Amino acid sequence: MKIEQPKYKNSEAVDFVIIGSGAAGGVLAKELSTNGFSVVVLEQGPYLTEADFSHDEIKILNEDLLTNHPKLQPNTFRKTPDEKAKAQRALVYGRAVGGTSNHFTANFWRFHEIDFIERSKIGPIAGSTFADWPITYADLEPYYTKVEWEVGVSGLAGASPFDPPRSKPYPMPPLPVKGSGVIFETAARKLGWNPFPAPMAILSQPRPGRSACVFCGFCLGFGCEVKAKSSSLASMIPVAEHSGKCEIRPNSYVHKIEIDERGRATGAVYFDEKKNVQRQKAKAVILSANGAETPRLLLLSASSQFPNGLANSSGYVGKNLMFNSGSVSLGVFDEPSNDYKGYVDSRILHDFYQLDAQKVGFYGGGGLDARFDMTPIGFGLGALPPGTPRWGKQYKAALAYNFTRTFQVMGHGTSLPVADNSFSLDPELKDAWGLPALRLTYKDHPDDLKLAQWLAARSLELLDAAGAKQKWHLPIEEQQFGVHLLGTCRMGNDSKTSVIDADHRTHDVKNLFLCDGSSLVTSGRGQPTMTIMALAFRAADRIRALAKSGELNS
Amino acid sequence: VIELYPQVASFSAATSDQQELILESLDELGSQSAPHHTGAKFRPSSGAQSFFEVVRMHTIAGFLVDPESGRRGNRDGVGWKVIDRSADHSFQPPFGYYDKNYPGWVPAASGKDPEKK
Repeated sequence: MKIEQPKYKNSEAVDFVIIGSGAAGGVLAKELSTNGFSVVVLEQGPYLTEADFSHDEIKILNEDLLTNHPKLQPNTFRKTPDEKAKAQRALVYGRAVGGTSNHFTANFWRFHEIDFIERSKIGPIAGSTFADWPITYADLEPYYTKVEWEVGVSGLAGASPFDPPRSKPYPMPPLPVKGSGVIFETAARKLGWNPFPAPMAILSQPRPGRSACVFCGFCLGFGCEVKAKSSSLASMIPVAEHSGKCEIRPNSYVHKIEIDERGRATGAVYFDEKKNVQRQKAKAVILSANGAETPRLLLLSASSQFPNGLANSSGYVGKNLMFNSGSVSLGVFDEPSNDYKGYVDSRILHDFYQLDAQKVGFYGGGGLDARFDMTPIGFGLGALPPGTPRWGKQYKAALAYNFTRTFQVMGHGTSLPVADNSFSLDPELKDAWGLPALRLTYKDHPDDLKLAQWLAARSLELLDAAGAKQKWHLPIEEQQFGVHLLGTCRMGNDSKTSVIDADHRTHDVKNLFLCDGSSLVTSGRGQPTMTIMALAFRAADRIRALAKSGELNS
Repeated sequence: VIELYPQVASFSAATSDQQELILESLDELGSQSAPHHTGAKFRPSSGAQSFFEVVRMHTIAGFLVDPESGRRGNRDGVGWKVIDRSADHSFQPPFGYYDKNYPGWVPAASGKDPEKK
């Protein structure tokens, strides 16, 4: 049920306008509004609720009910800047109140200490803009804890020998193990590895207004009908609304940040549901539109003052995109594990978080999980072993036998930042509002592909130790499509090689802040949302401190 | 159907062996070409697909869609019965064969010490 909200006038400057209501925007809206600031959240997509969610794969996945639709917002893709991009779907992101956190898998791994300082530990890497963060794990630790307790994360502290230090245990125990998790745990231990219960942003115990997980199995790609998944929609937006200081304005597609003659942001220009142009004034502007739409909006806001795009004196807006590398392996077992029941993954391991480049011959690291993230149609379309007929009697027999007996071992790993890998504006293609479409340029760093191969080999080794009857991995190919949209407005102390400072403030515009996947300097090991939420809690503290000191009004 | 089996009135009236041969004649990839992807490909894209591939996708979607979705596919849950998926939408552990005797989480007795912390 939606809560009564204040209605702010467009012409009256609110304290903050936040663009985007996902993992970062939801946290910022909650933190700032409950601290007394007036907040308007402009969200591109509709305000859907649990009543709109369903298990209809056609509506949710094939018709993109919760996500960006390629007909309304088409993209283009090219591998390198000297190619002409061709129309091709480049990304999926959440386009509804709650953003991508509505449909994510909910793996909530903290980054480790090494993720923030890896560049200085191992030195430069050819072909990469690899850099240290301006903050450390210790700076972010209190905010990881905040995410676990306020947003709701299930897990077991101390279960992994590789875990970074923490100030508090998880607020609730891990979710029950799945069959895939039992097999994974047994096999991994046989190999001398250290499996442990996956930390998940899914409630194992009920919280006020939210149910514990009912194990429906429609998780990745789907919204949660019982608010067990800790999306911004289930966890943060209701608190923001209860503050009485926050207005969530859905169907508001921002296409320009306005700047006055002093070079300060004055508000956001957007299309409302009827495609009429509106203008929300604000004392400060926060972009949490995701790692594709945040840089796009800065580039769309180019002006005579900022000819290369807003806050882009570094030239780094949209650059250094990281998708995370990874691998998908599948195994078929003798007995039904019924992995379609439950949630996605119950056991993971971090033994390979930090590989020794001298030994393996490439930079990188990652984790493995035991998962089943496919719903029935997706399984039928693409989860049978190589060599199985695509239709007919043999297809049907394999489908009937394998559905309850298959699970995946997925490798989640690093991507190196490469300057040319980017989101930019396509010079020709327009979206349904007449705005330049997103153009993806992406070619994996060679080390990322080597890592993916390496993780696939470990996954097969594990499936072998587990006694899988059949096992295979999907081909390792250069990525042309992403869901983790990281690094495109990176954080740093040097305004020549970063877009925002450690407070998430753009180097170029004093009252403009960016906080989402674009802020990340390195990619982590494939599970970015926990860190995006922790950054948002921290950014809210930094922004409050700046507001209090009067810095945003001068 | 008429070309291959002039005496058969429709696809559904053909025997299953005949049906396989009819499909074989239509599938330019050949039935043995394995699918090599997982569910993400059910998302729409701007790339063109062959007619056979579109029909295949719609057939599988119609066979396996949630029977409660209000669409007419998977009538009476027939597709889910074939794949042995329960018609329910909430479950309790144990979920299957492998987790039913799980003793509960215990730290590894013999796990290797991590090389680095």
